[in-house]
Amino acid sequence: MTSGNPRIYIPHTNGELTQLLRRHPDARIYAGGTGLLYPDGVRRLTLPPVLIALYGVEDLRRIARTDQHLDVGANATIRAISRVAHNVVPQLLTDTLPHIVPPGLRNLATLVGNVCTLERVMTSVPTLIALGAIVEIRRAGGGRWIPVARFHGGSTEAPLAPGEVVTRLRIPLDRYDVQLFRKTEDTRLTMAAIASGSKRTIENVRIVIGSSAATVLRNRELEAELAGRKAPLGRREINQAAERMRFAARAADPTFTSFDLYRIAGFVTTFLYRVGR
Amino acid sequence: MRVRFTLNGKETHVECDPGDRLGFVLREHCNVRSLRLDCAIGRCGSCLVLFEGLIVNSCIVPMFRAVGADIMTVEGLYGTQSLVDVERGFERASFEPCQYCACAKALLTHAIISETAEPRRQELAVQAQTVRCRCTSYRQFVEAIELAAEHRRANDER
Repeated sequence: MTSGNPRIYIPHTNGELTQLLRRHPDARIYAGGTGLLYPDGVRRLTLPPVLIALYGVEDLRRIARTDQHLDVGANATIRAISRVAHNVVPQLLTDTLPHIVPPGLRNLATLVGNVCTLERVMTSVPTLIALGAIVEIRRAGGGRWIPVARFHGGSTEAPLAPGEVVTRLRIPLDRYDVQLFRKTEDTRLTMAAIASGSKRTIENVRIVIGSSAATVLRNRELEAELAGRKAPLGRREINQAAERMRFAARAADPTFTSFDLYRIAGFVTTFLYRVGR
Repeated sequence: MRVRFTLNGKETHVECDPGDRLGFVLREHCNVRSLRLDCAIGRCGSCLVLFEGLIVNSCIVPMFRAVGADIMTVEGLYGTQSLVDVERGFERASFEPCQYCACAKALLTHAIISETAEPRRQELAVQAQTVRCRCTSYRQFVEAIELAAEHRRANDER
């Protein structure tokens, strides 16, 4: 951070953006700016020494839809996505969008900004991981796609190398039988879950819990065990699954309070009870 | 840094730092008294402006972002039919916000009814929370927006 003379670049094409990043690999990216700028009293916001603003790149504001997925540009605001999202994206994302930021910030904040905030798991991240979203990362002379889970999966390797930028988010438009999102009133926990199946058999389950920690909680063993079972699940099976999730949460993050663990178990119980009913 | 932007339809030049908050500059350099910097983290909504036609919290917009932008505050609505529509809606709903938040609520109402002729109550319930002031209830604010929209539609049909 600096309060001196920051250098601000406003590219107009993806090419200019990647070239700028090659010259300034440590530059901070400004999309919505809601998480990047630090207050410095009432008068000003402290800017980083080198800033690259995305709002000049028209391509990064686009939201495109195909049969299989929704592509969201890195500078598309939450409000723009909300307008497109109705009846298009999975209900889980529609339920999540109103909870992401206060209404006044929705014209500024971006979904990709939510993903790229590594200090903590932001509201949309559990939902995007549950839906299997991926992001496009570009650098001068190349690009790659990685899952959103890589940003908050606890990996020691940083998802973005110097000189790289996330340009697009791709959300699969798969159909799910049960989708559930919950954000607790104290904003400590954000929980998202999906399940799909056929002929009364559960085929795919994902339960993702986000907290103020930097990584999400996911019990893949439990998810694998639930897949293949007959739906609806019995009360005993549901209670056992909720207990396992509670133990996994306690082991993963000792800062969870007993009330947090109770709410996680409650969420898993509610979700699994709905599967097949 | 010299920043040029359009404020309420008039071209404006301001000498400021690139990191200065838009809300601060509007209030201190451009004498816009309708907005206030309260929480300064984009939560309370008392610094709302229409930035390129969209409602944003001006406290978290840095001045470098405002270069060439079209900005409107409630002062830009003075003497227009738009503000009359909003006032009629507020009157009919007996909605009397305090002096601190009235301008932000009027601007928000104008933005909502300009964007959607018949706003849905479910969406209004969320949007009404953009200005967080406890002087009035959100339910009453939603009703005021609906009545303002009704007044706007009646005017448009004439």
